[in-house]
Amino acid sequence: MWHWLPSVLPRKMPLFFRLLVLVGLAHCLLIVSYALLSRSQPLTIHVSRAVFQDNRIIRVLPFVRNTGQLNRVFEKVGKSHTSRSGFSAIKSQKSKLRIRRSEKGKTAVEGGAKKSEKKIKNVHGVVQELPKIKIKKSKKGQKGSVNEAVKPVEKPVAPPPVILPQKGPKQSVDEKKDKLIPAELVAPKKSVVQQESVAEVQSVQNTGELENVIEESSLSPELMDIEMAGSDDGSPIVLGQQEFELLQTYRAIYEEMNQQWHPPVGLRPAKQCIILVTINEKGCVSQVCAEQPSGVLAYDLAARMAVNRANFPKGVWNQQVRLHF
Amino acid sequence: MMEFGVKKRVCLLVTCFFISVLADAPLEFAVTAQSFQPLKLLCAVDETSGADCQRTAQQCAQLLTASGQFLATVERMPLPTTKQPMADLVQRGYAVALFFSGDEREIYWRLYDTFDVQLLVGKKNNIDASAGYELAVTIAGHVFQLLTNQDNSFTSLVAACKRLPGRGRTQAALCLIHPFFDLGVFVPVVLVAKGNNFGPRWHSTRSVIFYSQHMPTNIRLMSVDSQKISRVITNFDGQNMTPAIASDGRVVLALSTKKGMQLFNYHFDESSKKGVFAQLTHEKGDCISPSFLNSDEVVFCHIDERNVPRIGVLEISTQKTRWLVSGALCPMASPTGREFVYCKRINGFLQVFIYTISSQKMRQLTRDAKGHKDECSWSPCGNYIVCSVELGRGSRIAVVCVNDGALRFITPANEYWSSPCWSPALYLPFSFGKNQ
Repeated sequence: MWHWLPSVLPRKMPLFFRLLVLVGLAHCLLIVSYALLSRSQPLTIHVSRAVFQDNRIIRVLPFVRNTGQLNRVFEKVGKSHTSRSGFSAIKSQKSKLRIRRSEKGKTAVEGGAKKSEKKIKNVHGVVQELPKIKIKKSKKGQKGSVNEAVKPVEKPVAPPPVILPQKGPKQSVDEKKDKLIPAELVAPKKSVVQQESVAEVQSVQNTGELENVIEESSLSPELMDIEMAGSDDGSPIVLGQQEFELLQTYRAIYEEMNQQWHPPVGLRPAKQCIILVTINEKGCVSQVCAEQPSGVLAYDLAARMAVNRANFPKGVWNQQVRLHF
Repeated sequence: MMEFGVKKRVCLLVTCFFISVLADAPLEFAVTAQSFQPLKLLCAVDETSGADCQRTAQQCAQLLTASGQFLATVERMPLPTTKQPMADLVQRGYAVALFFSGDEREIYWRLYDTFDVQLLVGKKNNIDASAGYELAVTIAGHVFQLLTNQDNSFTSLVAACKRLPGRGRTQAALCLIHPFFDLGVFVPVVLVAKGNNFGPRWHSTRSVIFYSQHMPTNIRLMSVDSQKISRVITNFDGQNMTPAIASDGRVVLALSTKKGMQLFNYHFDESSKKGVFAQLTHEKGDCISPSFLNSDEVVFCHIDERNVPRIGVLEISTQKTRWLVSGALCPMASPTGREFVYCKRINGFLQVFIYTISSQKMRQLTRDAKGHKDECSWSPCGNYIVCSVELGRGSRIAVVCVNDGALRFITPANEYWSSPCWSPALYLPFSFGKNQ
């Protein structure tokens, strides 16, 4: 040990080594504490049945992983729909959401979800779904650049039509909604597969539009006020790619469990039955482990039976899923 | 070398620690049921076992299915000796299996969790030919309690009156029926065959039933015990009806006065060796159908001079009444005393409602327009309500599930059954299954 060290150290050297070790330990401590403290808290998202059956519009932003609206939307729905039937999903996520930089690193949107949300709403309250078309990036600050960017939407390349941003500040929110929300974009009417394909379409390298839209927004403060006021009820849900994929998984599991989970009537378990399901790479349930029995045997058995019958979506294949019944 | 080994271990530990800290947690979902379904249960009878075994399995299946929480089916099959048959049962949707085997003397029954192929409970019972349904009731009760963690009412009975066919005066016999067996399986036990009897009420602790009997001049209050011996309790002028007995022995009953029917408190005076009746209500109209919520509070029905009913709760100590529901009648307190069931007319038909005392909320239990639901009574477990359903000239007894309002008839359509009252105790109150 320590072969390379001279056998006799100068007088100051041991002190130096001790200091070095101390600093090293302090660093280790810092790293460990950072790892512990910065670990994201489980984000609880309550998803009631209405999320998927209500006429809620879900828009997916290209080049954006998270917008932070997923949680907000679920919370809102959870508050407005106080039905006894509900479904909630909990996912470990980092609280700090980021919008991906553009390829050239010029996109101004970066940082917290609130910031990105605000800027997106500022434009027209609704974020466009962008088709798979290459668009020439227009110059910053140029008026009319948004409209120019939207023009290619008319081409029949992608199924969802793109919505033109309305500028008129005197327009009522409802009127705008009527104009801005096409029926095709209403999320519940699409199948999971269709929505996934839409998400794929949107993952195109097109960064200029977003940038221009943001630049445009700063020019119309009146519109911003209107949109902010109207955004609380019925405004479209703007999601990032990652959130959208997560939503698809939630939806698939939600629908599957809705079909399978039918406990016997009148059972009153004192606590939740928590089941940890291991799904193999083929999508089959390979292991079912009751982490916490509810205390009512029939309830636990019914839960296990539901899990056993369920076909889990691809998003959770080769993963573990913890189900709270 | 030792030092290096220690370091290696420390490094491994640190790595494991970091992996455990930074590893992704599994996805978590909380699922709430949108609908309910009974749990599938297989009653498997060994191929080599006798007829008694088969009969007991069938009776168990009938009891468990009638509870509404299980869907039990009976199959004759060889008892599994490996795990594969159990896996097949899981594939067929059976989460639990109840295996019966035995001979003419004994029955072995074992309840298995088919997922883990784990024995949950198993017992050996002697077959007593004179026992009738007791064995099935015992096994089903055991299984039910283990699986649901709830009390069951398999051992209880329902007292009801069956109108006897014949000309002249109406005759109604006081009978006992089983709330979970069909009349074909459990033949009704006739307690009082003579007279026009109605309004039976069970004693809270003893195997005694009080009932009212129509007489030429009045309606008298009678009692019948497990030996089928009838006694006259009160024979005042007018009507003597519907006594309610609290768990501490306190008795309240409805008696006729000049102002109509009123509630009276009955107690036996030790010094004079006489029963004393103290009037509790002084309302205009009739106060009927008392039922104890607790030892000091009685829920009852008051029908005013305009024939409009309402339900109130009388505090016996202060003799103050608070009115809860108007337009409702026939209240009956639940075994816990936290709620009561009553009937109210909705769209021309009497329907069953449940009123929760603490929250002062009412819940409509039945909704179908297939007859008047009347004369409700709770099961001892609190999960079911028995009532009479009157449609046209017929009247049947039905059991309503409190949880989902599902209605199941227990008497045939071609007979007239009325005034059902569920026994309060969780034991076999009378000579169970034995008929004259």
